[in-house]
Amino acid sequence: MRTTISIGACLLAISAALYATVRRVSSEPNDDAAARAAFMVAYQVFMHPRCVNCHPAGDSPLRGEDSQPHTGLRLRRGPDGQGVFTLKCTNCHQSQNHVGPHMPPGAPNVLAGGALDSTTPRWHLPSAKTPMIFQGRSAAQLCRQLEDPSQNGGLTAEHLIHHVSTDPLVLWAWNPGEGRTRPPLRHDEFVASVKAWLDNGGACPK
Amino acid sequence: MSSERVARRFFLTASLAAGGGLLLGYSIGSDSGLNKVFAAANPENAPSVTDIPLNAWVRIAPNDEVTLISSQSEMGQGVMTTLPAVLAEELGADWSRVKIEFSTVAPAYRNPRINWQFTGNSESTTGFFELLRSMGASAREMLIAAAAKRWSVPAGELYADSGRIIHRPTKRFLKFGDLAEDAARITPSQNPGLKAQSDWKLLGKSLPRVELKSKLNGTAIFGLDFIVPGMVYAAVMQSPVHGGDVSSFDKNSVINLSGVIDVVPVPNGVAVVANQYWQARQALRSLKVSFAGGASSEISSESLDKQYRAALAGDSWKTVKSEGDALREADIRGKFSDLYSQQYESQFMAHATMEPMNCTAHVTDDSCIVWGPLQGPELAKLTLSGMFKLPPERVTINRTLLGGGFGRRLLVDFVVQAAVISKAVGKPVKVIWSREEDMQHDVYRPATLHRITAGLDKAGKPLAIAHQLVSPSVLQYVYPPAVTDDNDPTCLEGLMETHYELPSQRVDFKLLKVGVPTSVLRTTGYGPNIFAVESFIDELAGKAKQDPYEFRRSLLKDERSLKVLEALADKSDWKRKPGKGVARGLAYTEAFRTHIAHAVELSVNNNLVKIHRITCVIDCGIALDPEITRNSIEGGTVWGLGVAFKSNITFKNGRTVESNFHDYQIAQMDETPPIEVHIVNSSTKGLGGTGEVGPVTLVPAVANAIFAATGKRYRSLPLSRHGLRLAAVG
Amino acid sequence: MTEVEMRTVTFILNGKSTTVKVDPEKPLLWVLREDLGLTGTKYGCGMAICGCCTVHLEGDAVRSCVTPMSRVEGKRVTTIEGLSHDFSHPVQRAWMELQVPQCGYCQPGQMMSAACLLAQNPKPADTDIAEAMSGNLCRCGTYQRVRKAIHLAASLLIERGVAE
Repeated sequence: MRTTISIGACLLAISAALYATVRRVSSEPNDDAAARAAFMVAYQVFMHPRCVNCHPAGDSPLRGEDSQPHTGLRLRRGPDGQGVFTLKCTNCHQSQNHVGPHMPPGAPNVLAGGALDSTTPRWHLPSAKTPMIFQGRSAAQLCRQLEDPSQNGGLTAEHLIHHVSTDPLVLWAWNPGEGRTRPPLRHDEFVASVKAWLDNGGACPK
Repeated sequence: MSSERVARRFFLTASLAAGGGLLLGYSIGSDSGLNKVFAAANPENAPSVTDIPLNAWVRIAPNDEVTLISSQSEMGQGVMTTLPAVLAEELGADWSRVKIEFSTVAPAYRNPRINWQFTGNSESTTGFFELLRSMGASAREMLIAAAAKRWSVPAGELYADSGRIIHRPTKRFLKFGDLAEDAARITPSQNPGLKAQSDWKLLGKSLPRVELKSKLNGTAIFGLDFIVPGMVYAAVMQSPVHGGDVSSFDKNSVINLSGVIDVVPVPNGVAVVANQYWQARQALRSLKVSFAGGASSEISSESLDKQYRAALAGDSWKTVKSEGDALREADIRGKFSDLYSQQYESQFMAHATMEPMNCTAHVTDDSCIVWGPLQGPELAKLTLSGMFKLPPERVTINRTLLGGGFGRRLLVDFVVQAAVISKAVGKPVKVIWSREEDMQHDVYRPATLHRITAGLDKAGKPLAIAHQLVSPSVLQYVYPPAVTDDNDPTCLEGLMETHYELPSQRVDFKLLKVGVPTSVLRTTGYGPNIFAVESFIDELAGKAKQDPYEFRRSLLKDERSLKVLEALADKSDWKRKPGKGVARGLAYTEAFRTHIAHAVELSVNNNLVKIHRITCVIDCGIALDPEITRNSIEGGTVWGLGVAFKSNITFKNGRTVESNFHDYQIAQMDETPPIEVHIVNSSTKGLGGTGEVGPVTLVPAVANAIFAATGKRYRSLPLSRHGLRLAAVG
Repeated sequence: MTEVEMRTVTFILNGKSTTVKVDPEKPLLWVLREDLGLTGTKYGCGMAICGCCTVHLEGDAVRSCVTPMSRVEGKRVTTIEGLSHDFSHPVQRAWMELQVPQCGYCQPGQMMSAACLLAQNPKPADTDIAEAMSGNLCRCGTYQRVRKAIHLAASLLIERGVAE
């Protein structure tokens, strides 16, 4: 009886540990090499200005190909990442891009059921508690951070894949408006690389 | 040739620089029909027929309402308040009940100094103060004479106060409205008695601006806001290359778009006309148009820089000043214990008024009416009169408030556009420039290049200073009669006179012809010239191992100069050693007839300049309205921060590079440190302008402070080109 | 004539229900100025940098030059004309007492930003003000007065005992 309980307890502990991480639980054995390779592909997108600019190291959003502060504007993340007082993100950023260069880009909001709400903009940084910093992260650091529920906003593997597949702010990177470059992969290629990384066990580069 | 004749008939010749075809080529006819003392009635804005004008400046209604005329345009400098207050002070009007009205264009409203109607060059107060005192006093005397006659009492027993004429012995009174008709029949005296300054009730105090409330609730009407029934709108695109022109456009590419009425050529460009501005602007995006030419298509900041340097290195200078023996020969080597020479540079800048260029016009076969934010209404009137071959009395210029002027709205290019388009479509038209159009089709403050050489004695005291200046014209489009083929007096402001005691002085000038359009911009010649002079004087102080304040003081004898400089040292705590890592710089000059000095206290760390405190002392004669004066100088100081650190216009392939506020940068609130302005009053005989004097000493004071902090001397602006940035102070 | 498909938008403007039929691409700024005759809100840059076009949308200081009408449907919008009808808003009172405006063109935007700041942060320090107002440019350089006026308005709010 005691042996059964202890084996059971171990199995429970192991599976609990597995479910608590982002790593996708799969019946396939882990392929660390494949996972790492896939992550390195995805990393090119994560470190592109379209992503880094809203995943900054500091307290301010960045802009442009060279990831600089917004000229002259004293912008702050704020507790919920929406900006503060007169300079909340959506005070300038709308639910879509504008025609012409140097205009603030935009993305639509998402309703509970997943439908897009193009009357309301969605533009923000991660919150102050979980800033989800990409800027300056090495591949190893970023990988570990993305998989750590205390740093990734409690996302599971499914959530993460859902986020990169459907979040309007992610999709925006491939429709960024005049004067802005796109990430070096197509969106579907990017999603595939994230999936491949997680499906293969989510191993991180060293 | 009298200035009056010159003003009435001059020609803008095509030999002036390219980059503004629409500014050139119009002959300006005479305006002989306007010799009237009383205000020419403005048919669109006619006063009530019962209003009685006592002279061109004062009208009184039977209901006692006093209307005072403002000849000067209001662009934030407060003239619409202060100058009518001069009238009201002498008149004895009830200030709380006066109405202010903008004047028409008429000889009565010309600035007496050059007999030309305009607002600019910080000349409104200095130009009109004495005239308006006389006009107000004259009207007062007419009212008093009328009352004296009615009561059969001596005029000496009567006085004016709060809109009444009062009989001192009996205290009986008559309201202005009761006397106006009789007063208008009195012949005004040639020398009316002026009120003593000690009796002033309005002047010397801070009056609430007359238009203040309208600026707080959105009812103030700027050019962009003005509406006339039946008005349509035009969005304009001018040749992106300066001096180029439209080679073709396809009206059919937009004529069927929503709201579009027409596509009209304008000088150097094309306009889409629609029922609403938004429609015109959207359609303009789709318009098929191509531009070509422009002698300037090769021009860049680099090519201009080469042109300036070649000019500085070359010969054929025009000696505009030569005093004292030591500088008779161009080469002054060997005549002094020591020589010191440096070069200085100021940058091209854009006016970037917050309200972009715009104008409304309605032109028919026999009339032309304009409404807009204009600084140069007489130039507009004469230009349009000549263009459309209308007698001047058939051209009416109405002015709105201006969302900033800074000299840009002295020109008439945007006025001509509105008129041309209106004529073409047969309706009133408002032309609006987008910010991009405004930035890229500005008429820029030109860059300047200076070489200053001093001959010093053994102690390092300057005995001779020679100043060589290379600059394009600034007055060419604004007041052509003053500009010749090799001279423009405005470029030389600040160089022709100095309060520094220098036995020998020489100024050599080279009027450069450049392929980009240039004009006056706030501080005109003083700005760049005093940056050079006050930096150089500071360098001489350093060379002589003297404190910059003491060095300047030793070179000054003028009482007003010394008073201002000493007050600055006092108010800025100049003599107290600044804290660790903190340094101070100062500058002094007389510009626009005002004595001004700035002291700047700052720290520099890794090229980040944190300004702790700015102190300014000015003597503008008498500050007729101290609060307006202070606001103006604070604002000018902030403007100067932008000039010193950031604002810069560059050119590439004949085009202006900068297009909006993301790349043409100006000072911001979080870079604005505490600014103290101290007013030293001297006398009404020494009135000076304040609208553009603020930046003049701020800019060199900053450069001097940075030297004091770092030991590095920066001689070209903006400082951003040396990697220096303003730190946030708040 | 190619007619743009117009869209009817109803929203609450300065407390009153307002309906307009407009090109859905037309930003709120130009609808206010051209379709609704409210010219207090100004055009300065068209790219959300200068702040002259600032209005309140559900209390937030949005830049109307880039705000599409679709965002405004059913919402409350306040412009400078709606700050008060009698200059009684603490921001207006403070601006009046300190004689803040020079040319005045940027001031509606300054005041709307200031009013929004004070509604959400009734006792701002200089740093808060510098930050919150960093998107309102003034070519005449009235910044020092704007800063002082915001402090004064904050104290007037305390006097009044209400936050907007």
